Amino acid sequence: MRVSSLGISAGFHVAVVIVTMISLPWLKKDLEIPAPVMVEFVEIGKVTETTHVAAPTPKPEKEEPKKEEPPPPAPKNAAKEPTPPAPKKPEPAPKKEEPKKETKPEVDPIAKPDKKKPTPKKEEPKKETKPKEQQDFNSLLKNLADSKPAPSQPVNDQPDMGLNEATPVQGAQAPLGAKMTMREEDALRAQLERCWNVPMGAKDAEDLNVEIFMVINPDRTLRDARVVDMARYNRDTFFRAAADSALRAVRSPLCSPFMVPPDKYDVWKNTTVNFNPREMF
Amino acid sequence: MQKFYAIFLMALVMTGAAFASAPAQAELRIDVTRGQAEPMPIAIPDFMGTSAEDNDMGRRMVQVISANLNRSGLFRTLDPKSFIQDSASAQAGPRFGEWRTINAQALVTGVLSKTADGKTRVEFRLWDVFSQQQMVGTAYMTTPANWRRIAHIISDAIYKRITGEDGYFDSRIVYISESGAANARVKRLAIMDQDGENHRFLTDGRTLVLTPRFSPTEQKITYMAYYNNKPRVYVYNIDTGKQEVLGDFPGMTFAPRFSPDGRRVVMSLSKNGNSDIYTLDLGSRAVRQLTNESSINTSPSFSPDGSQVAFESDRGGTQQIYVMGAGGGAAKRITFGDGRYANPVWSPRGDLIAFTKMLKGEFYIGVIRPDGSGERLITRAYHVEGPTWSPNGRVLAYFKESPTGARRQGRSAQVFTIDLTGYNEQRLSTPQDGSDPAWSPLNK
Repeated sequence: MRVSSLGISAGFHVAVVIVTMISLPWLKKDLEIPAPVMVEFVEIGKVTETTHVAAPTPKPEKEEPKKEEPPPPAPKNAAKEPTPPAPKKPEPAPKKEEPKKETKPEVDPIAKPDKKKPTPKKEEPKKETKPKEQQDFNSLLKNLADSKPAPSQPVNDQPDMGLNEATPVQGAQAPLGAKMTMREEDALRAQLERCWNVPMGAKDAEDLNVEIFMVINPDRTLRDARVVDMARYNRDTFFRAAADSALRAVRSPLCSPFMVPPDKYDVWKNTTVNFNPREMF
Repeated sequence: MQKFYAIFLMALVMTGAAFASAPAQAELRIDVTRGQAEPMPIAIPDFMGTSAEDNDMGRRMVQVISANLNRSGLFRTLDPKSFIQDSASAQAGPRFGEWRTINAQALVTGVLSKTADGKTRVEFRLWDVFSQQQMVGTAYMTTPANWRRIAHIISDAIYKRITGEDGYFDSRIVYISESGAANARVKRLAIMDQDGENHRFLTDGRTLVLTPRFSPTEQKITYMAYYNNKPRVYVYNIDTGKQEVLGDFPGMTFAPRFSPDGRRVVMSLSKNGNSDIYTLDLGSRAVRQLTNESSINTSPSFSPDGSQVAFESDRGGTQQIYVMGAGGGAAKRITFGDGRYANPVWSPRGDLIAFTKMLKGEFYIGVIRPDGSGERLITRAYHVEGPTWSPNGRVLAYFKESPTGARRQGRSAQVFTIDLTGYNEQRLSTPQDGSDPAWSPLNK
C-alpha cells in the first residue's frame, strides 16, 4: 500500500514535471513564426523580388503632377488681414474671454456609424495613388551635415507582379496548409508598407512598436483587426496615435484585398502584423 | 512496483496526449518596418449653422483649421470640390464610403448654434473614415468674437488625437520687429498668433529691445532693453501690460531665460572679460552663481524638468555646448563637431536641444539629444539664429537674415518655422522685418 501510494505520488510528480518542461515552452512557441519558412525560401527563390520600399505601381494614364509637400497655404489667412502696424505704447492685452469648454462632449447618437463590419467596397475606385516621390527613408530626419544631398536610394519601381490584381501570388499548386514563402510574405509586407502612414517625428517614435491582430475573410478582405496591447492603447496617447495609424493601414482600401495566396487560407486567416518604424529612423 | 510503472506510463501517455491535442493554431506574423511619410489626407467640410452669420463663421473657422493643419506638414486637407457628400448632410451623419472614395482618412464635421444668452456653441467631431468611428467630439461655447481662438483649439484637438502630442496652434509668438536703415534700426517688441494673425506692437521703438523669451507657464516675457545705454533685464506681462525691471546687475547682462516653473530666470553676467551663469529667483531676488570659470559661459537654457542647464562655453578652447546640473558643478560637453556651437535651447518635450552652429562662414540651426547623440542640422543660411520651440516641442521658429541691396550692405530678417524632422520650412509673414522670435506656451 505504502509502495503504491509512493508510486502514485512519484508518478504524478514526474508527470507534472515533464508536462511543465515540455508543454509550457512549447505552448509559448506557438506565437512565433516557424523558422523553416526562411530555409524553404532561400532554396526556391534566391532573392525576394519585392523591393522594400514598394512604390505603388503608377498607372501612367492617371499620372498627375504630385506635389510632394503640402502647399504652404498658410499665408492665405495670414495675408488676409495684416494688422496695420500701429505704433502703440505697450498696451494691456485685451483680456481674452475664456471659452468655456464643455467637459462632456455631447455625442449625439445620430451620427453613430453603423457597426457593421467595414465591408471594403468591392472595387473601390482606386484613385490610383499618384506616383509618389519616393522618399529616402534614411533621410526622413533631415540632416544637412550629410555630405551628399541624400541621393534618393534607387528605389525600383516595383515590377508589377500582378499583385494589384486579385490574382494569387504564386502557383495554385501550393499544397494546402503550406507555409507562405518569403516572396509571398514580402508581397503582403510591401502592400502594408504602402498603406501605412508612419507618425514621423513623434517623441521616441522608434520605440513605438504596434502589434495588430487581424482576422481575414476567405476573400482576403479584413474581417476584424484589433490592437494587441489595449492596456497601453488606453494609457499612452503616443501609442494610441501609432496604433491608430497601424489600424488605418490594415483597413485602407489600398490594402484590400490583401495580397495573399488564396489557397493558403489556413496560413493567413489569422495574421499578426508588427508595425515598427525602426528602419525609418 | 508494477503499479508504479503503470502509473508512470499512464502519466507519460497523458503528456503525449496533451501534445497531440493542442495542434498549432496557425498564425502568420509579418513585420512591417517601413511605411510612408505622407501628410494625412483629411476632409473638413464647412461647419454649418442655422443662420447666415453662423454659416459665415463656420466657413472662416474651417479656413483657419485647414491652414493650421496644412502648415504643420502632417496633414493635407482635401479640396472641397472633391467632396461627394455635402456639408449639411455630413453633419447629420457621414457616409464613410463616399469619404473613403476621395481618399480621406479622417473627416472633421462641425455645427454652430446660438445659445439663449447670445453665445455661439461650436460642436465638432473628428471621424476615422476607415473604422467609421468617432475619434473626438467636443463642444465649445464662446462669444462670436472668439471664433478664431476656438478654431485654434479645435485644430489642437485634432492634432492631439491623431499625433498623440499636444498641439501648438493656440499659442503666440513674440519677436523683434525691425525697420529703418541698417545703421539706425528701430527695434520694437511685437506679438502675433502663431499663424501670424492678431499682430500688434508692444513697445514703441524708442529703446532698443533684444532677446525676448516667454515664460513657460504664464503670458509673461523677459527681454533686454537699453536704458541710459545700459542693458537691463525686464519682465513684461502681456495680459496686464505691466513691465518691471528685474534689477541692475553689475557688468553686462545677457540672454535671460525662464526656468520651467517660471519662478526663476537663468542668465549670464559678464565681468572682466569673462562671463558666468547665474540664476535669479523672481520672488526673493536671490542670485546664485552656477559657473565660475575663467572663460565665457553664456546662453543658458533649463531642461523642462528643471534638473539641468544647457549652455555654451569656450572653456575647452572652442565654443561648444555643455550640460550641467541645475545647481552648477561639473559640466559635460555634448557637441564635438567642426565649427562653433551656440545658443542651446532645450525642447519642452525634453528629447532634443536646438542650437545654432557656425561652420565655414555659414550658419545652421540643428538639434541634438541631451546626451550628445543624434546631431542633425536642419536649416542653413547666410545668417540664421535664435531657435525657439513650439510649446509641444515639435516645431522650431528662428530668423534668417540675408544681405540686401546692390552692395549687399543692407540686411533683411525674416521669421521662419520648421518641423523638427527638418522638413516643411515656412516663412511667417510679418508686417516688417522680424528677428528673435520666442514662442509662447499654449494660451490658457
